[in-house]
Amino acid sequence: MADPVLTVRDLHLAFRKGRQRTEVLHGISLHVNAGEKVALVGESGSGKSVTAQLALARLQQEKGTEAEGLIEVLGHDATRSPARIAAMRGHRVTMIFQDPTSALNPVFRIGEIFEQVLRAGGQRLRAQEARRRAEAALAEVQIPDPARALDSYPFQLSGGMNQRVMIAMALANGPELLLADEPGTALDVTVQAQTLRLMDDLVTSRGTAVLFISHNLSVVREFADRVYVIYRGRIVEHGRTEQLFSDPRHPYTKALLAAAPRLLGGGLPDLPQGAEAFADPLLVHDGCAEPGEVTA
Amino acid sequence: MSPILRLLIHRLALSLLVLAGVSILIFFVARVVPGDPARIALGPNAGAEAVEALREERHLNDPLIVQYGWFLRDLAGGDLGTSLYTRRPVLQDIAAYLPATLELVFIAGLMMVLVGLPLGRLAARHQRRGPDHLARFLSVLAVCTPAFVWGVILQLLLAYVWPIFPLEGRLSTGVAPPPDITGLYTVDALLTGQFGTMLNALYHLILPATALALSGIGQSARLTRSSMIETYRKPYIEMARAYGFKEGRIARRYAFRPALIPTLTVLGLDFAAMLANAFLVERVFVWPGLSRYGVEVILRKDLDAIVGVVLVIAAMFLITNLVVDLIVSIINPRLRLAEKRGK
Repeated sequence: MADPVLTVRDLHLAFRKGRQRTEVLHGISLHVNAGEKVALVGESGSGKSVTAQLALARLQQEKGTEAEGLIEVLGHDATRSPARIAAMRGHRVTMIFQDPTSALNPVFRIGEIFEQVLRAGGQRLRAQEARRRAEAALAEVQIPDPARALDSYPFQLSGGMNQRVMIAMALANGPELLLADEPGTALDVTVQAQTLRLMDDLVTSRGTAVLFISHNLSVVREFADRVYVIYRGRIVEHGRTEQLFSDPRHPYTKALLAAAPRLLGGGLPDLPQGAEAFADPLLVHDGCAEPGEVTA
Repeated sequence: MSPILRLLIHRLALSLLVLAGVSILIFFVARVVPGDPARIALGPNAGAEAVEALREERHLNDPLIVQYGWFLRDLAGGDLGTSLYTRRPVLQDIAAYLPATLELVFIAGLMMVLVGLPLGRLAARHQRRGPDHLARFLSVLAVCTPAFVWGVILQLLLAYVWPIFPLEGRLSTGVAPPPDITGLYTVDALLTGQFGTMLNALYHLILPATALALSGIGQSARLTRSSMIETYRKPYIEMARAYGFKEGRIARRYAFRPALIPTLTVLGLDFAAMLANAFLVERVFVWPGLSRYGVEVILRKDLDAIVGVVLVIAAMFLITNLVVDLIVSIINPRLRLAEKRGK
């Protein structure tokens, strides 16, 4: 089996504000192997996005954050050596966001932002070379006139175009791990589907590992090799995509699947709030143990 | 036509309208205020005929509307009338006093931008930590103490107790003013190569400009801080961090430029307001400026001079606003390119 590029083991996370302490993650474990596409599915507030933040070592130093457990990204411990992770941001580990248009600075041209992205991790690069590489990267995400896109401001491009720009930026430095946090959720469904397919093609052909964070089951089904279902800070079910969709075992997963809207699969369906069965322990499908564990 | 040029023309036309409105307003308000300008000008010992003659000469016995007609006729010929107080043409007075104030306000504005903005940026970057607490304390202190109090404090500490800076005036005694080109001593001295005089003028500017600028520095630091903190919460800053942009670069460029847009507009108004507020500082530092002149003429009900001074200050406000709008439209591509996109 390939080495994991991301390993999370027994991760606890709590936010403390004054005397209040809110526990957000109650000991989750997951892993993403090199070149593998793994989805983390759950409703909002279940702890999906903070997991990505922790993997980028972006949360650990914030005041009032208490993180415990292991997060290892490309062999480095994100809690003990956040500086090592910080140095990998933007080239070895990259990220794609919900709303591409607001993730691009409105007062800079795409080209200026791209140049910074290409220089992530302190890589030296001349402006001409950066420009050439940015144009090539935009051509790869099928942007019709890369030179013009580079000279544009984000508000001059459509949401779909900006998402392509974002994908190009995320992959430009050949990352080993891509964190996709609800990519394109802010876009309309068809554009989201188009850009996701584009992203899928590119990461598959390059062998980039992806942690795909989503609430949208139908998108996950199309995209992921393996799925973790998270509910209120606990992983409740873990299996390969076909296992999970053909044989959902955990009550929460069943409820999620049963409630999925039939048409195109839009937003998150209403679920019976806090049904007791949702607190059932983790169910793992055959052959999906965490590394270091014995398969049951 | 480029959108910036269009903006410029539009704003200029608007400015002229505003100026016309201000002139009408101040013209009538100044005249409605009780008190006889001729009597004040001639003093209590002048005879009734002399006062009457002056009133007649200045058309003060005509109906207000007719007086306004005379004013417009003079204005068309580039004449703002004659001061009853200095007995010189108002334009000449303004030309004599305005540069001193402008020099003061420019230096103060420069301090506001060069000290206030970086201070606010520093505070935002280290939010709720040492530098932030210090910067916030200093800016509140600067904002809530009036400029003339700062003037006196600075004089006391830096000109009297530790005589580092001169106490008052634009130049030391014995230093001749440079030839009059712009009226700004520093610029004129520089243009004619009198570096000693330039340094001397700059040296005299520091204390009054600091006194005038302090509240503006505090204000701009506070504005920049809050605007930066808001910008730091934006998704594009999260993106910048996720992509390993250097924290210093984010503070100096990536977060700073968008944060500057709302800050600049307010700063422009602050800057223009200093022109009018310079009075007390000019008073404290015996600075022969326009604000002091303005107060003198108002107290003496010197009608032509009042209108002249108010028009100049209003024009300065408008020019500052125009410049700020131009800078903002350069920083904010949405404004600059709005036109193109619409078509």
